[in-house]
Amino acid sequence: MNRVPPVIGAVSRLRRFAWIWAGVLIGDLATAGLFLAIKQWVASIDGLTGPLLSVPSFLLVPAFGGLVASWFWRKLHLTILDCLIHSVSMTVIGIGGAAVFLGEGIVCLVIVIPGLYVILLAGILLGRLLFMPRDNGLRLVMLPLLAFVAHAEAQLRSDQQEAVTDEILIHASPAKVWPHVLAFPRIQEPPDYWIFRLGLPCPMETTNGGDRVGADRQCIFSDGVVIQEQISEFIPQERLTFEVSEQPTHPESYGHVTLHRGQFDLRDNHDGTTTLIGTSWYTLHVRPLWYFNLWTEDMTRQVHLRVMRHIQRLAESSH
Amino acid sequence: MFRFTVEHLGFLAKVPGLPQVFDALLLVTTALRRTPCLVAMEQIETHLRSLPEMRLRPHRLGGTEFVLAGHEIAHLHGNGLLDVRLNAPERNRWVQSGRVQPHHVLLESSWVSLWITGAADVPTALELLETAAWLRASGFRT
Repeated sequence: MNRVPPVIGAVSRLRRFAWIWAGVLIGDLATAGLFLAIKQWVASIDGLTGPLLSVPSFLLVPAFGGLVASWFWRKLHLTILDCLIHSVSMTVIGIGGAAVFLGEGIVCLVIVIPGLYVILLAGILLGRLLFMPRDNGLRLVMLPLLAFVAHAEAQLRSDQQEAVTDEILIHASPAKVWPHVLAFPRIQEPPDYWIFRLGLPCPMETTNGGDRVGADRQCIFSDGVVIQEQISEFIPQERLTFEVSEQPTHPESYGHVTLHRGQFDLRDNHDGTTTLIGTSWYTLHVRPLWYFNLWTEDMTRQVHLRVMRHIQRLAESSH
Repeated sequence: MFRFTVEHLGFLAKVPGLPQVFDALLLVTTALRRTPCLVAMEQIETHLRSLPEMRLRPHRLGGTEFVLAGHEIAHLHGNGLLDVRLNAPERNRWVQSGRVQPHHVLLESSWVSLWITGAADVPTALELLETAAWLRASGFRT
């Protein structure tokens, strides 16, 4: 009599599938739990409040989450490709969790995704080799080490101002350019920068409250974001500097960056053209600085270029 | 990027965890841009994992280290660079055959490097690793 063989393969695949997703969730929960615990602990010692995306929380905590997940998967004999794929799952769920529970904006999350993915992957790959069946002890000693590093980083970090400068050549004299630097009507062109399309507010209009130092001006962005500014330097047809008097309260920027000032310099080229130079100063509060500043520089540059190209169009059409 | 990092930023390898992160970045790049290389790396690793005496562990400079009887015989980086430890005669024989290169950093050492690009390199890699394993098992010193 023929016996129907048990569907061992199917059950194994189902169990493996369940085990993998359990690992994804537990790894992400470990990451979130450790992130919040370190944040709370650092806040209780150092009095720091607000978002604390620091070197430890961005680099070490996700790696720890990856290690936890790979410990969970240690009997599954994951291949390199498995690790690459499950890192995607962990990243997507982790990012979804950050959007829902931390209220992070889509642009912030898009910025974080590449770094988070690579760090998670590094943790998973490391854990895959560390926790092979012969060696399955989870290195809990890493927890106090992480907490110490988080504390030390918060103590040692010093905020520094960053500046981004861009310039554009305008075929018009400074006299023609200057009025449009002070204020310009609504930009009708849709944004062509991909992060603006994702939801980062883009500059739309600037209003001017007076041609003097101390006058208020507003830089109006899409999505109802308004940056309140006050003129601190006013040299007609040469330089306009303004201090940011009220920070925007948009989820994409809130707490992550402090805007300080902006400046337009007009350089007369004495051939009927003007070089318009725009500079913005800001301080980033998230770490690693080099990683987030790469993105912030690029976004600031796109804000500059959208405004300066609009000024160029207005000045050259009135020429 | 790999060559620049090895030549100019080698000191960063002393930062714990950084080589592993860098290697993960290399692996992502390999997966996105050189899929045949990734497939070949999987084949090599799967073969070595199947050998009962072989142990795999994280390499201190990133990647997977292959260990036999407590001694490293080779390591595979995320960009498909396989570094294998031979002895001097075997190293010279392999390099002269043109199938492998001298080690990408330690040119005069008994290590050799093989760039894995696709399935065609797997037999060479496995033969090279078998030679290294045989040397280790035979007690030859490098």
